[in-house]
This record gives sequence, structure tokens and C-alpha cells, in this order.
Amino acid sequence: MDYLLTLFDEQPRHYRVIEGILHGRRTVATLFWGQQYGLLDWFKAMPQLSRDDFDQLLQSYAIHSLLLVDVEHSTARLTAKGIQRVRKIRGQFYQPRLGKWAWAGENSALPVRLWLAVQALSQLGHGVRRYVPVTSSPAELACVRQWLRQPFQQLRKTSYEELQSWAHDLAQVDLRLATLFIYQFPGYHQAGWTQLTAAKNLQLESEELRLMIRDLWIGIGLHVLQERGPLADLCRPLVKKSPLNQTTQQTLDYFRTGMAVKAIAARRHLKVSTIREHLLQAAILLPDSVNLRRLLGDQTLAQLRQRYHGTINDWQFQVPTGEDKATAFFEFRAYQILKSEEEHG
Amino acid sequence: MVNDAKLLATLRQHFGFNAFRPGQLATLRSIMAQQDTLAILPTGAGKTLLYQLPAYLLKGTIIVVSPLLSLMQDQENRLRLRGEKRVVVLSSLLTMSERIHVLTHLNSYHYIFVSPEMLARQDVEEGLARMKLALLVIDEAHCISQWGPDFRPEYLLLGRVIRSLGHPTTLMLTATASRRVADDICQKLSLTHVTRVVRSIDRPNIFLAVEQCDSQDEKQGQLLRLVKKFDRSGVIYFSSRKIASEVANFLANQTKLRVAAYHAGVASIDRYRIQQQFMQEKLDVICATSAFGMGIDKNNIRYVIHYHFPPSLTSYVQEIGRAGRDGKQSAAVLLYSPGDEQLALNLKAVELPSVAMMNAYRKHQVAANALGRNATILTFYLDHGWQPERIVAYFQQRWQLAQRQVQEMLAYIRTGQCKREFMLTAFGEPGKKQPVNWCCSADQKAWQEDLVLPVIQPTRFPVENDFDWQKRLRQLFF
Repeated sequence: MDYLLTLFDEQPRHYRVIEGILHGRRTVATLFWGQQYGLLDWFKAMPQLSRDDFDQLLQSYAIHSLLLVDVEHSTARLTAKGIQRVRKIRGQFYQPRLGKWAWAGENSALPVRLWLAVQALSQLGHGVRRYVPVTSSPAELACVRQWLRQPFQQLRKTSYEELQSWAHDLAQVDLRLATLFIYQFPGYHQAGWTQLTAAKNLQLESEELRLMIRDLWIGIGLHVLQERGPLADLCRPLVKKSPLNQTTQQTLDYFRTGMAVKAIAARRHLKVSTIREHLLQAAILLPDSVNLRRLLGDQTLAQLRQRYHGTINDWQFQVPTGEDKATAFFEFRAYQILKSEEEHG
Repeated sequence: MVNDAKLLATLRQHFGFNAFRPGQLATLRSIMAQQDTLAILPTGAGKTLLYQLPAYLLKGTIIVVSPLLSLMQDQENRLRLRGEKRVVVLSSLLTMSERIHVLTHLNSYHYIFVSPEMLARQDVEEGLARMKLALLVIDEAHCISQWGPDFRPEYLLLGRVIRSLGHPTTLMLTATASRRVADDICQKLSLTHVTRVVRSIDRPNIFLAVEQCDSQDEKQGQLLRLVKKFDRSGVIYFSSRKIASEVANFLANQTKLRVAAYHAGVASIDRYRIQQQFMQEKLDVICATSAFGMGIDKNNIRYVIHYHFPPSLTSYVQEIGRAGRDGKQSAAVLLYSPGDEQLALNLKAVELPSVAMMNAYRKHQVAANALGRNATILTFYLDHGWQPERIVAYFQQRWQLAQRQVQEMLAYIRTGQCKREFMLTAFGEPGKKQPVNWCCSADQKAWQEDLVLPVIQPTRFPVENDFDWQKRLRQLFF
């Protein structure tokens, strides 16, 4: 399985950016280029991939004439043979569909809580009170035990309907997602599919299965955030509400009140460069969340307009005479993001 | 004072048995008389009952110190299946907030399972010291006297912990301990007046076999023949996760059996599922590393095969003891190919840094990771005031013991005499062999043709080719 190959293009791409995206690196450079390459769906999709493995894969693609690697510029592009192979992979194997909301599925505690709740409903519904719970975490057991103190028949009925609705929506994306979701549940006379069983029954390669599981829990995370119901209410505290981490969100909140970058830095006792990094991250991860025109100001915008034209990816950063390099680069990157948003909507 | 009649009545009422198994009553009498007790009872003798039954007669909490997380979870699951909900595993898997929650609610638990590392923590020790304890149980007590890179030095602190807990009645449980090991256990725990209840390690219903193979390929072929012959249900032990997974895959492809790999590399949720499926007869064979089944409560495992060389005769007896707990004919087969012992020795080898490096660590001149692969064990000793020279001498002594243990396993493999007699002699029971129908491969050379194990009916479900999530969801709920 050569999913990694599908992240390259006929045009050269920075391979460390691709590696950073797969690892979930949040630097502005990684996020920006990841966005330009249309790869944010893959954000943190392979966090376990080591540098050695990544480099070895690139080397192997190069040896098999699938990829042309330019070590000097740290870029690589697909060969004609590579393009053919990528088409084949995209046609044959599962492609991530919900990756842009990856943050909603990041918490591994979400599946466990949902499995435990459904297991309890299933066993109790069949009159079984003595069973081995899917987790022995005292906090999870206490949480679900508390949740079960609702009128049982009603709880069982609404939970069933909730799961049915979620699985139905997953089936709209890909029927296998719904199958995988439901067949993983432990319950009365069922231990649930292991990963090996799932791969065998759905005829998936292990890497495909991993991406499907990721999409599946992103989908469930989004339902949990957006809907009301006993299972959604039970699981909501476990789902991240935004792709931004807490500190970036705080910076964004201050910015939205109209504060300037320097004022936010002073208030938060952080460096100006950190505040700028937060705002650019937010601008990429949550489009429209940052008013970039306000951030840059009319005068700077006019200067940037004069300085940079043409295809965004081809722009060469310039430091105007007498200007601070860090500030100039921040403005350059903010302008790139702004123009990119204007071009791609 | 609780008399035998009361103990028997409790057994009947809560466990549904009419009689105790050998060694159980003597152990229970000793515990109820508040005597520290070392019970060396064979695998499958019902050791768990030795602390479950007193729970109905004693006031206070029962603390069980266990060496393995998987074992604690197995024991916890068994209690939950009995309907006991006031049970908790206090282990490194708990998050900080969970640990705080448990420590502030200690009195709400009837059973607390705890790892030696966790018990050595000051907050845990202090929390437990404030409680009324009915019994302190040291499960798999032979681990106190074991050795290898996996050795848990915190076991050495248990003696001090027992005193700080006010010396509750202490029950030490093991299936295998020679006199030397038994003495070592009591000495390390600083317990002087200990009642010992010892029963033979022999499991007459387990046939003992060794098969010598010239190569790994031949070994795999032999394994396939055995698994086809024995059918279900079986456990095959490996010392490598990778090979366990590969062989599981091989057996699944070559037979009609349902086979799964079970080791620390398998996701924990999948380990749960595999264990449940095995218990429910939905899986026939498990390819496992030693993490599997320390406390598994499946009575009808018909065979245990060792694909790799076990680290010692003690470990071997423990692992094969998972077979035949229902008393029916079972088998334990060890597959050996030349050089296997080297792998076992490699797994036991402990590389030591120089004395100078250990001294540098003591003087805070280098960080712990400078001590190499075994930094965790070494820092434990150094932080507890051991001199580097003493550590070196201690490790050399233990390495020699490890080599002797491997030699002993080799002798078991190579002996042309009765394997059962060899094993009993090694555990201090020479000439104690009872007559059995099926003894060992040295005595009954045609066993591969003649030995027949009782058939286990699998739980079969219609093969699903068409996975209907709506139907499955309805089955889960209604």
C-alpha cells in the first residue's frame, strides 16, 4: 500500500511538509504548505511514521521510478509512472473523507466510553447483569454507571435510535464505515470485531482500515458535538470542539475583541512572534476566523499588493530595506493566506 | 474462631462447591487463624478462592499484589463476573485524576489489586495504611525470587510495606516454589512465622511431551500437525510477538481453526475481545506471549504448546498449568530446535554499565539514560543506596542462576527418562509420581498417534458474508 505516494503531485512538493502533516506538526509553514497542497485531510494521519521509515519509503519510490527526489531543495514530484500508480491507488483503496475535521476524532477515550455504554445497554437489555466490562477504568465505569441511572427502557430506545442515525450518516459516506462502527461494539454474546477480523471481513488492507477507523471516529465526534441525545451527551466532554489548542484559542478570542497583536502579547505575557504564530495557525485551521485585512492594516496590504503578484506558490519572500525580517515574513505569510483564501474561497 | 463447618458452608453458599480442593482447607484455616501463610498449590488448584472466600468472613478490604497487569485485569474480571463491583485495579494505567479518585475512595472498595510499583508509592502506601485490611495477598509470589530484565525490584520493598500497613495477615500464593525459593520469599518479605501449605506440583491429567525438530521449518510443520490433531482449544506460547502473529496467521490459513495472536503489540481493546472470544469458544487457538493467561479462568484448555524455549522450569510449569483445569486429559508439548536456548539466554541477559558510570549517576553527573537499556532497574538499586560493586556482584550471581535455569530446561528436554519424574525431582518431590494414564513422551513414544484429547464443541454462528449493520444493531439492543 503506497498511500504516501498519493500525497505527491506532478509539481514539486516539500517532502518535509508532507511528513509534518502526517505527524500533525502545527508550525505555520507546515500548515500553510499542507493547505496549498490540499493535504490537510491527512493532518496527523500517520503519527507513528518515523523519519527513517518516511525517508526509506521516498527512497524506495525513487528507486522504482515513481518519484523524482530533489534532495538539495527537499522536494519531490511524481514521474509519469508515479502518476499512473497514484490513479490506481485512489481508484482501488479507501481515501480519507473526513480528515479536515480530524480534531473531532482525536480522543481515544471516545470509542471506549461509547463501547462501554452500549455494552451495558446491550447486556442489561438482555437481562445480563454479570459481564466483563470493556474497560476497567474506574472513572469510565463510574461515569457510565451514573449515566445508566435514567429510565432504562427510554434510554435504550433513544440510544438505539441515536446509533442508527449516526450509522446511517456514516453509510452515506461509505457503507463500510457504518458496518465497521456497529460491528465493533461489544455487547450481548458479542465481543466485537478485532482489527484483524474487520480487515478480513471488509477485505481491507491494514492501512486502509486504519484510515477508515480514523474517519469513522471523526464522523462520530462531529455527531456528538452537533447533536443532542443520551449517547451524544455522555460523550460530548471527550470531544474537542475546535482544531485550535487552548492557548491559540485564547489568542484568537483576544484578537476578536479588537486587540492588537502587541497588546495581546503584553496581556498574555507571550512574545509577539508567538501571538503571530497563533493567529496564522488559526487563519489556516479555521478559515475566516481571523480578519487578516485588519491584522495587516490598509497600508501594509497596499505595500504587499505591490510587492507580490502571480501564483502564490511562486512568490519569493523579500525583506524591504529597513524592515524587521521577522515582521516582514509574518506579513508575507499572512498575505499568502489571505490571497489563497480569496482564490480558493 | 471460624471452624471447618463454617468454611464449608461458605463454600457451598457462595461458590456452589461441596468440597474443597487439596490444600484449600488447610490454607483457609491458617488465614482465619490470622497466620501468615505461604500456599504452594499446583496450577488449577483454585488459589483465587483462597482470598475470595475469606472476603465473606472477614471485615475489611483485601489487597492483592500482583506482578502483571494482565493478571490483575483477569482477576478483576473474574470478580465482576461473580457480581462484585467494589473492585479496582490500582496500576500505572490509571490517569492522575483516576488515581486521586481511587485513593480518596479507597474505603469503598472490597478488593484492591495493586502492582508492586504502585504499592511502593508513598501516597498509595499511606492511603492503604489508613484502612482496615482483612488480608494482604501476594499473588504469584515466586516472582519475588525470579530474575531477568523484567524483574521488578519493587518486590524487595514489600517487606517494609507489610510492616507499614500494620502487618495484616499475609497470604503468599504460588504454584511453583522449590524449598529454596520458598525460603527466599519469606526472607525477602521479612516474615518469620509462616505456615506453609505445600501440595505436589504434579498435574496428572496433563501429558508431557517434548518434540525435537532440526530446523524452524520443521518446527512449524510439527506445530501444524499437532494443532490439526488436537484441534481446540489450545494456547501456543512464543517469546517473540512478531513470530506469534506470523504463526497465528499461518495456522489460520492452514487449518479450519479460528486462531488469534495475543500479545502486548495487540491493541488493548482487541486483547479484551480476543480473551472474551476464547472464553466463549468463539476462538479455538491463541498464539501468545507470556502476557496471556496468567490468571485466565478457562477450564477446558486442552493443550499448551511452547514454540519457544521457556525461561525456566518454573515458568514452564506455570504456563502448562493453564491446560486441563477441568481435570480432563490435556497435553503440554515443548517444541525444541537446536539453538533455542540461546534466544532464551539473550532475553535474560542484562547489560551492565561500568562501575564508574554508575558512580557518576550516583553523584548526579550523568542522567539515568546514561545507564543504558536497563536504567530502570539499575536506578532503583542505586537510588536505594546499593553500591555499584554490590550491584555487579548481584547481577553476576543472578546471571549464573539464569544460565542454570536454562541448563535445567535443556536437561528436561534431553532426558530420556520420564519427564514427569524429572519435573517432580526438580521441585523436590523425587519418587512422588502417581500412576497416570498418559504420562510423557519418554514413556509413551507413540503418543502422537494414540493420545486423544476430549472434544470441545465450538460455539458456531452462521458464517456471515453479508454484513448487515442494521440487523447487528437490533441484535445488540433487542
